[in-house]
Amino acid sequence: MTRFIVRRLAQSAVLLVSILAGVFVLIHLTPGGPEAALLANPRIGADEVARLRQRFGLDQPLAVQYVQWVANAVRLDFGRSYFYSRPSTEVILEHLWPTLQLGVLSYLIALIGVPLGVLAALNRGRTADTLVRMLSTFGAAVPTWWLGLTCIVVLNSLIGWFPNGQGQGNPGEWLKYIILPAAVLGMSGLVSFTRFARASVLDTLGQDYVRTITEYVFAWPGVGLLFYEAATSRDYPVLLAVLTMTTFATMLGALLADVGYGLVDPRVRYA
Amino acid sequence: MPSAPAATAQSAPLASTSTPAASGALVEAALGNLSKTLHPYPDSASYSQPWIDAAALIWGGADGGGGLLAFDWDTLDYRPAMATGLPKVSADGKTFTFTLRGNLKWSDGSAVTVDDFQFAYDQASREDNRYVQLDLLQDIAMFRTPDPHTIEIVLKAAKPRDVALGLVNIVGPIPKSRWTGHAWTDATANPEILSPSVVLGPFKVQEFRLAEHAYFVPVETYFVGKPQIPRVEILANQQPTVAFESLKSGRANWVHSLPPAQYKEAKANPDIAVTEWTAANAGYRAVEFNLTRPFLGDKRVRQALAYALNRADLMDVAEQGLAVPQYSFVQPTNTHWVNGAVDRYELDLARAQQLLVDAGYQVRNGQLVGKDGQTVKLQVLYPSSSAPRGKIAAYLQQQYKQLGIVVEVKSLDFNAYTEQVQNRHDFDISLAAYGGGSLDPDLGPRAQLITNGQQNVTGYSNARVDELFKQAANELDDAKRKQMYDQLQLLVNADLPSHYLYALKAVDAFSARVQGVTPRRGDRLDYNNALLGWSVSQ
Repeated sequence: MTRFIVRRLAQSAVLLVSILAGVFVLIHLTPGGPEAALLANPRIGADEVARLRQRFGLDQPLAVQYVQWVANAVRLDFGRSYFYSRPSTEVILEHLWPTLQLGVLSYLIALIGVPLGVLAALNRGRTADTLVRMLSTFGAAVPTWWLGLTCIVVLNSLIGWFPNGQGQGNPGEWLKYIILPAAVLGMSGLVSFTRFARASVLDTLGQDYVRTITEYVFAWPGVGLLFYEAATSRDYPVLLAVLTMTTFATMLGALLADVGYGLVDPRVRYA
Repeated sequence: MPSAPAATAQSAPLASTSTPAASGALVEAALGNLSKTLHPYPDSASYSQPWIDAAALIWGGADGGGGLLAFDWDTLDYRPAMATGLPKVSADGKTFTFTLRGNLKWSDGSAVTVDDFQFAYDQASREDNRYVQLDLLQDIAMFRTPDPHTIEIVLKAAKPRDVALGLVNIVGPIPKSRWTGHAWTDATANPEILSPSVVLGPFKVQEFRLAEHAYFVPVETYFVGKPQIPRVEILANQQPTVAFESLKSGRANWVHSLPPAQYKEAKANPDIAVTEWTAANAGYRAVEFNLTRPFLGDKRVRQALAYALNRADLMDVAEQGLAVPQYSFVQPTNTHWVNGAVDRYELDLARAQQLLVDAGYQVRNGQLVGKDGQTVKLQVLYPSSSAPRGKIAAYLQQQYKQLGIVVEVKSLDFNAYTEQVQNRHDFDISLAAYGGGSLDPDLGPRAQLITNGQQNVTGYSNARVDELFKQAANELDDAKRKQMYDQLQLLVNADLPSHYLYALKAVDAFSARVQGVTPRRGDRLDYNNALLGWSVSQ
């Protein structure tokens, strides 16, 4: 097993470096760097744009930028955000806690799908089964962003029960803020749980774009919203830091899952 | 600080001694995010519309100023603000001497002194402090405070009056006692950058949560007067639909820049007051031609393309009628500088077709072909974030088809669009938007029209135009400057590197409970310290 873990760690390291090199190049090849938007401002001259590129290190060849970035990244220094003027890791950590809260609660909501599925199975062809199937069909058919907007318009703006943003203070206040985005994010997982397709649940909840859309629609100050902002403004340090962390987390999860299979299922042998 | 329209006590809508009426909070459902910094002298990466909004509240003045002078958006002229009067100007037009008012206080009650101005200038003019308007500060030869009441600013060269007053008014004070010894640009090392403990403007920060909301409360010591509004709340990152629904339900009471799609519904709602106006510095839209393309390099072709468009249709299609026609590089409402006698290029398809024939093009089988037999194809480029420009592109496609021109429409995200148009000049036709900021043509359109100008994306070059812009920038007589800009508008319209379409109306929507809102001639409602006169009935 030790050999297996060592080999998987080595494979993961190679994979991580390859993925990040690809991501780094792709991000930097995307037309319109962080300074592009500044060109629309007549107050900002070519000299200032050149100074900005120099300050961000964008005047260096891409290979040099990559080597510098890797050298810093291994020390967990992902550079300073261009627009926050603070370390990227600091900015991300601020946004990580809200995302974790949202992720955990949405998963708990999705788990409601298990008893619902059982209920439907035990009452096949009856009203309960029909209702659960209607719910799951609705949940599967409706896009997250539409459901989110509708919930906001009805439950937030019109009725005023659930405000946008991140709640502070007592648990009741916190729940009032988080319940709507968590319910919308958890809806797709709930549908899948209801249909007894657990693998697809994990996929759905793990899909970054679903989380990003949900955080964007609900103005939830998490990593998804931060990633969206960083992508549109070309805040390379923040973008790369988020991608590095999510890539690392995904690979770590896959490694732990592989090891875990062997521990819980004796039929699995490590080669 | 960029521009500096603070206001004077005599012109403020609310006297400092008045008793505030009972008023509720002003809650803005903002379509964008909050500023990532509250630094009074931001760098170019931080200088954004959200920064201007926040700076107007905490640093004074509607453009983040809190300066010695204010730009009055009623008279379109400067007036005294933190100075007791307009500056004394030396005979050579280079030295400007201000006397500081005696009753200026920071939000903690301490006095604003000339040292606070000097400190701000000394820091902001350092290249390593990366102030966004450093290039303008570099027009200042000397900034000094010979006594506790006097500020003397010497320019390197004499400038036209408005340009010079704009330059000498860039520097607003910074609380020296709080900032001395702190890092100027490092938000991690200097808490004042993200959370200023002492401010100058009518409001101070109560709570600022970057991705969510910001709350501001009145400053008792603001030298123009205390606002009636007990709290300003900005709810960040609201979807347009959500923002509008919040307004309808009363959860918010202000939506700045209401999207055109919601205009009609807002107008029909008795609980919503829609404020619309066309500012002297309004945003405007233009069709920009790439003159380096052989087809578009011919002036007759560009004129033909202009004659194929109907501004009235465009304003209806793209802006729900919320615009006024614009015929030159100066907005029609900028009465200081506009020339109303330029060629307007009104819709005339027959003339357009004749101009193309004159230029050597013919229509065969419904398609325009050149002398070489090649079919004429154009690409219209615009940023995907602008829905109105998408509609303009579709309209151009339809109109130019009548001339036999095949048009491909392409949208890119904003940064990619700017890169392709401004940096690489790789486009045929670009749908541009300009405007806002200063009224003086030297500070805006010049960069688009002089040879190799910072914003000259069309490749336009006319020696006479370059010379006139140069002369106008140095002419101290306003009447002569006006003549020069009149001539420039005629010349540019004849050459037509860009076809100017219309100036946009600004549209803000309020709950009917918000009172005291009066548009000025600027593009922001809070100019002239208007927030002091607003109230929200409970």
